[in-house]
Order: sequence, then structure tokens, then C-alpha cells
Amino acid sequence: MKKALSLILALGMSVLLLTGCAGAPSSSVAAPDSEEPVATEPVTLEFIQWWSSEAGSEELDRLVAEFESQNPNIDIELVTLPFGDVRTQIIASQASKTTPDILAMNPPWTREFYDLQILAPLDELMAADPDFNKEDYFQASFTQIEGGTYLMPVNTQAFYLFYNKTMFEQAGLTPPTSWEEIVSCARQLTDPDKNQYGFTVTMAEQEASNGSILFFYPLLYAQNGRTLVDGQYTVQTEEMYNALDLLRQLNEDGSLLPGTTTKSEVQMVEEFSVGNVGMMISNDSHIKTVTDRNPELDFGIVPIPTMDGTGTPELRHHGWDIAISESCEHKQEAWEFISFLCEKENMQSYCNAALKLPAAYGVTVDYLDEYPVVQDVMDIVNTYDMVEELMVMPKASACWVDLTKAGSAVVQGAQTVDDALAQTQELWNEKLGQ
Amino acid sequence: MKRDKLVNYLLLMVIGLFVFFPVFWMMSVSFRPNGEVFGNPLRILPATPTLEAYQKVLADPDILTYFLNSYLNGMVVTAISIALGIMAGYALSRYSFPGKSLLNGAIIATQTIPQVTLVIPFFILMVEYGLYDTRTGLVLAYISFALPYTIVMMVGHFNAISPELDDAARIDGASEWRTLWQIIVPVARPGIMSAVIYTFILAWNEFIFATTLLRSDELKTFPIGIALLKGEASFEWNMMMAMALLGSVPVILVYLVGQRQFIAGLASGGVKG
Repeated sequence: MKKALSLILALGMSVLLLTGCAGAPSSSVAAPDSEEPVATEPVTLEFIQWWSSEAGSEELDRLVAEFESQNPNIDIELVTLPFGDVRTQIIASQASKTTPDILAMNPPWTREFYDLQILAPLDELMAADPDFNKEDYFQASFTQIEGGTYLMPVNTQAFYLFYNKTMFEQAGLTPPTSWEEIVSCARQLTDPDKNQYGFTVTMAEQEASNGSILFFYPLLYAQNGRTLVDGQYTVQTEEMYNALDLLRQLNEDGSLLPGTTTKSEVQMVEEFSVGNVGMMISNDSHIKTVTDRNPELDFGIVPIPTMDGTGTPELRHHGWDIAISESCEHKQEAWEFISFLCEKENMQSYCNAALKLPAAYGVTVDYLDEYPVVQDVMDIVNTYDMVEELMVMPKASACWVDLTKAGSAVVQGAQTVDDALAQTQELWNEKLGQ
Repeated sequence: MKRDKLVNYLLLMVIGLFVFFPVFWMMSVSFRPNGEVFGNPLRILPATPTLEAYQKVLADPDILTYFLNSYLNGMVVTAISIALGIMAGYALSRYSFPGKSLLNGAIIATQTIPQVTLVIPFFILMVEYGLYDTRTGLVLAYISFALPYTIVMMVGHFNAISPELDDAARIDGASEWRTLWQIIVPVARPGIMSAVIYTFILAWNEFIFATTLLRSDELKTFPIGIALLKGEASFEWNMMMAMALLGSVPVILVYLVGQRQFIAGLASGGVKG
């Protein structure tokens, strides 16, 4: 009997504990039919992001506190999730009408979110803000969908050719200025007996299966190519053929570090940082990773050259952007926070702390001594145009997976480049209804 | 005979090596700087061992919060699931009532639904009932997975116990409640410990519901803590492995505690005469 009573008591205490630990409902989780509150009432805005876990939370917390002190009626509640879960959480919350107010955005998510009616257009908010000038910022993030602007850039990233200076100097080579030179350099730098290889690429089919957007898309834009041609998304262009053919050549030469179809992007970067790989294509957010992993590694960054070395290549754009959800009931307040965060001074401050590049012209960073190669990146990014197609492409993530599988098939010798592209085009046509 | 023993030991050693090597690698990575994780050539042991990962993990109050949350959730889910599972299992094992087969079938059927398909429905339900981003909501979600399994296990274990034991207790004047908790449960202890171990591991390791149903930092669990170390640009490999190892400790302890109870349960008496 005593034991039974003890059990009941324990159960009762557990229930009380759970009740006591129940979180208070978020003030930004609104019932669908709630009315627009009076502007002077306190407003709490939820800002979902992965930035604090990736780049540290101190500076973002400081900026939020500063904004709140300047705007006492607005509270910003930071919701930090792993990068891989932010997109899932936003989509899940849309189903239950609890979408956070402010969304940290990976540009390729944009079209998907637009189609799910998650995003609010920013054009009117931007136009009504007398302190905001769109021309001050890199334009790639302002690519419109159906005439609307949905993203505001917080920092910018682009894709470049990383090269191992030590390996190049020892081989008497200079950074390649054409694709023929990329192939030739890769071949000359490869010596399997010394465990050295000319290039590392990821074309893995398992999640995130993003090898195509890490390798093919930067090469495509380096040739001034596009996937959106005459209103249709296509991979059967000369430029995309050339990109896959480059991969085929590198593979057949034995210049690729083994594991192309199994390694992830993160592993590819880790391998480059070890110092026995000549080149990789990646974005500048990996400069810190490579430098921190191997401070002794002497590496450089150049724009991916055009195929024949003539003309001006374009860069594949990436970056951290920010958006307002359509269900946000205080869009003006949300824009005030976004515009504060993206003011040049605050953008510079946050980019310094996060070791990112600002998305505004004329804004510099102060960590160049620690990461001197960033100066080269800043020079490039302020010189070359950036291209962003994925943010406006329907079903972008599913389509890039198809293209990655095509690359994997080429590397494994299962398909020729023509066949791989033809199969990918069929899949794209089916997915996109074109 | 000696040769057979030797072969058995060698086979066990090979299998043990195969099974244990990933854990060994986890330990090795947790004691090396991140720059050495993908070193070429790969080293089995760290070239420059360091405690930096453990120092960072144990010095981070957020990470300690994640561990505490996982402990608390695990214990509450286990206690409630086992208590309810024992009672429900006993009822399904011993009593006949209308709809018993249907109920049994429904409980078993819930086990066939992949948990990932329930993420969005649970999310919507939790929001609807004001349980989103609460410990209660997460614990209730975990109980909904653990309880059917616990009931099924208990039914099986109780079925294996002779009803004569119940009759003997009733003849001696014990109530149904006393018969269950003082006579049957001690005999079924091995099965109960198995259910305890499974339920605790389920709650301890669960990630997808935790990351979907929680937003507040103060409620996050340790699997989410490990995932937060996986950034867009890089992973904190050594900290991830350190957290994973530290996170294995409670599960190992539960197994060790369960082992003793299991053996004690085997040695305990049953129906006499």
C-alpha cells in the first residue's frame, strides 16, 4: 500500500512539475482571427535564425539590445536552430499559422517559401523608409519574384576558385586563367604516391546533395551561362555541358581526390584545409574554416576563369538574407528591425563579429589581418557581377539534387555528359511542368 | 574444447572491435583539435591530444541546460510510461472486456506508423492546445510513442506469468491493486527494466520532435545541442563527439542499473508447490 501511495505521489509530482514547466504562450503566436494591435502597445517579434549558433550570439544579442533600447515598444525574441532545421521549422510553423515574424533566409529557399505564401513583399516598406536606399546594397538578393522583392541581404558570399599556393609554387604553376589551365594544373599537381591531388569536388547523392550548386552553377556563371533560358529552366546548354565535361576530364585524369560521390561539402572543405589538394570551388564563408583548421596553409582565391580566359566571369551569389513572414502582424516594426540591422554601421559590426562580408558597397571589415585573403575576396566581389537564379527557381532544391545525381553518374562512368543532362532535363521538365 | 573456446574468443574479439571502433573513434576525435580530424594520413590516435572540446562543452551553461533537460524529460517520460504501461498491460493480460481485441490491435497498430509522419500533425495539435514550446508538450509527445511499446511489452511479460500467482494472492486476501504491485510486478521486473531502458533511450536520443516542438533555448535537449554544432560552413567535430560521449553516460548507467535488476529478477521466487 505504501509503495502504491508513493507511486501515486510521484506521478502527481511529475504532473505538477510538467504543468509548472509549461512555457508561456509566445506573444507573437497569434490566433488566426486576432486583430491588428494598436501601434503603441508592446510588440514581440520572433526572429528565427541559425546565425547565433554558427557565428556566435554575442554581437547579434548586442544589436538586438541596442535596437530594443531605441525602440522600447518592440521586443525581438531570437529563436536559434541548427541551419538544417530552420527551413523545416518555418514550413512546419506555416502549417499551424505560427510562422515566426522575421526569417533568416538561405536564398535558395526563397521561391519555395514564396509558393507556400510564407514571405511578405518588402517593396512598400523599402519605399516608405526615407533612410533606406536599395542602390547601397549588392543587388543579387533583390532579384524579384513576380514583381516583388522578398529578401534583404545581411551579408554576401560568392563562389571562387581556392588554390593551394604552396603546391602551385612548388610545381612552378600560376593560378589558372582558363579551364584548360585548370585541367592542366590539376593534372600536374596530382601525385597519388605522395597522396596529392589536383582538385576536390563533392558530388554525393545523399543529403544535402548540393554538389551541383557548389560546382556546376559557379562554373556555369563563370561562362555567363544561365539555367533560365527563354522562360524555361534548362540544363541542356553549351555552358552546362562544359561544366559537366570539366568534371569528367578531371575525373578521367585521376586529378580528383577520391571520394567525390561520398563526401559532403563540409568534408570537401576539410580536405582542402589539410593541404594536399591543389584546388576547390567554394564560397568565402569557408575561408575561416580553412584558416582555423590549418593556419599554416598558404592558400589564395581567384575568380573562376571563363572557359577560354576571355571576357569577364560572373560569380554565383550566396549569403545570409532576411525576410518578413506574410503572417507577421507587425510588418512595419519588423522592417524597422531589418533596416536597423542592415544599416551600414551595424552590418559592418555584425560582419566583423561573424567574419562575413558585408552586402553593401563601401563597407569594409576589420579582420583582414587575421584573414588576409579576404582582401582579395573583397576586391573581387566589388568588381564582378553576381548571379542568383536559385532563389527564383521553383522546386530549386529538388532540381539541384537531379543535377548532382547527373554529376555523380558522370564521375562513376555510368552516363555520358549528354545522357546525364538529357535525363536531368526530363526530370526538370516533369517537376516544373514545362 | 580449448580450441572451440579460442575460436569463440577470437570471433567475439573481432565482432567487438567492429562494434566498438566507432565509439573509440568518437573518443579519439573528442580529444583532438578540429584540424586533425581529417588529417592526411589519418591518425588513429590524436597527434596533439587536447581537452579543449570537453572544456568548451562543460563550461557552456547552455550545453549543461540541454543535458539537464534531456535528463528531466527522460526520467519523467519513463516514470509515467512505465506506471501507465504496467497497469494497462495487466488489464489487457488478465481481464476480458468488450473491445479488448480491438484495443490491443489499435495499440499495436500505432507502432507501425513512422514517427516522422507525425511531426506536422503533432506540431499543429501542440499549437492548438497551447503546448507548443513547452516541456509538457514534448513529454506528452514522447509518452505517446513510448506507452504503446511499454504496454505491448508488459502484456507479453504478464502473459508469461502464471495466473495461478494472481489466484494465490487473491486467496490470501490481496486486492487487485496489491496483487499487481506487490506480487506480479516484482516477478516481471526483468521485462519492466527492459521497458525502462527502451523508454529512457527513446526520450534521451529523440531529435526531430524536440527540434520541431521546441523553440526556447531553455527547453532544448542535448541532441539539439549537438545539432547546433553543425553549422552551414563548418562543424565543431571535437565538441560534437565530446557531447555525444557525455550524452552516452546516462544511457550506459541505465543499462548498468538495469542489468543488476534483471539478474535479481531472475533469482527471485515465483509460484511454489
